Amino acid sequence: VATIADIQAQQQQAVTILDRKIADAIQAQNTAPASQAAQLAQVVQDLQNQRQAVYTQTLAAIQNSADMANALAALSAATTNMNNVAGQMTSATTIINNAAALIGAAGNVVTALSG
Amino acid sequence: MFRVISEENAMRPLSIVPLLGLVACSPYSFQKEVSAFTTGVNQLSDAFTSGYGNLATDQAALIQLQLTDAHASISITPSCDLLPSSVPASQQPCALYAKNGPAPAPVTPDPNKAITDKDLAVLKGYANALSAVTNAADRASYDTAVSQLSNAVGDVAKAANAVAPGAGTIAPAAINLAGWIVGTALDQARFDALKQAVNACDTPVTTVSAALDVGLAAISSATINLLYQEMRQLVGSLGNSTNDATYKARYAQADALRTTINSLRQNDPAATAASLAKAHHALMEAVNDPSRNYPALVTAIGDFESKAEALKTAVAPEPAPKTKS
Repeated sequence: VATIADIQAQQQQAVTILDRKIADAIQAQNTAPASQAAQLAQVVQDLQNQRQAVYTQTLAAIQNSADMANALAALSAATTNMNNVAGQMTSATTIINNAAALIGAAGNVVTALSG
Repeated sequence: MFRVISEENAMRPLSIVPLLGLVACSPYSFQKEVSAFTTGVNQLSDAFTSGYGNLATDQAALIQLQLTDAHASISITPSCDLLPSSVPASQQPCALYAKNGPAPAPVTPDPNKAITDKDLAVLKGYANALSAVTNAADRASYDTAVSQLSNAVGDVAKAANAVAPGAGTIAPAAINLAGWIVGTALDQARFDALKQAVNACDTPVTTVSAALDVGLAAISSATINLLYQEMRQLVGSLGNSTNDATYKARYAQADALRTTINSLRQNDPAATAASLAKAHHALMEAVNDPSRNYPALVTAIGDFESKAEALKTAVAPEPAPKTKS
């Protein structure tokens, strides 16, 4: 039986992946030329919004915990997918190019938490 | 004859005086510890209220900066001229935003705030009821307090069951409602009621605390997002061409936000909620076996109280920035 702690641990994994890429994007923004900095600023904001969605949906999942086990399994699969995409984001260009994919994968985490 | 340890000595974990008292003269009233626990719960609740309330202010500050920097034409949401009613537009906040842009959506990190509010109210009710029982000075106040505590225990159980079914399984007769039995010392009656309540509620309090932990993290994350965006907006236009006064003013504003963000980052809301559960568990263990577990209770209660106070301070509205000359 999934517990609140299990859900929180999965949430933390998803947040950690997003945190790493937010940090990379901010660092890249700090040194990027103006044209790329604006794009990176948008990436940062989009990733922040997705991170907030993970927090918010985790809270909703716990508040409406009719089936935490199913949510946990779906969450685990979606987090693995996020890790795979995040692994490809290693430079300013790949951060920009893969941000949408990571945000999409994080969206799957949010969907998983929604049940 | 019962003896109660003086308040002065009660919170000194390494002092031999209270420990000797606990072993030799039962029951100890736990007044000071329960009071500290109650204070911590109230501070945690205040942190929620402040944190949530500040989000709208932080969002408005960010929008103001963005519009000011862009010298944008401004739109006003229709809700600014409507009292809340069944008209859908009236349910949105009154806000200013860029003309032809989207109206800002309210920041709502807690999709079921009513549930969180209820959990907090339940915990506060329980903590205050514990205090009322341990502080009851006469028969009438004791009987009232124990009735209040019995209701509060039931509420905590219901709140825990809503999050994790079964977490709040409490026998109907967990708290003796018979009141103060004639011939029984008040100290003993208070102690028995406290013991029954903390044993019945330990698992439910842990469960409700875990849910609050997630709620606090959601609010903190939303706050940091807004403050970061505001800070970025402030420093984004600074450079060689910025005049001195503008540079100093905007830097000072960004620096004030930096201080607030650091304060939020240093006061982990999850750790605070976890310390609530830990403090309650330590209270239960100390009540069950004071001679062995009292020092751990003092540590756990002190840790919870200080974390809750620090968190409450961290989420308080940031002071106006001071321009450094």
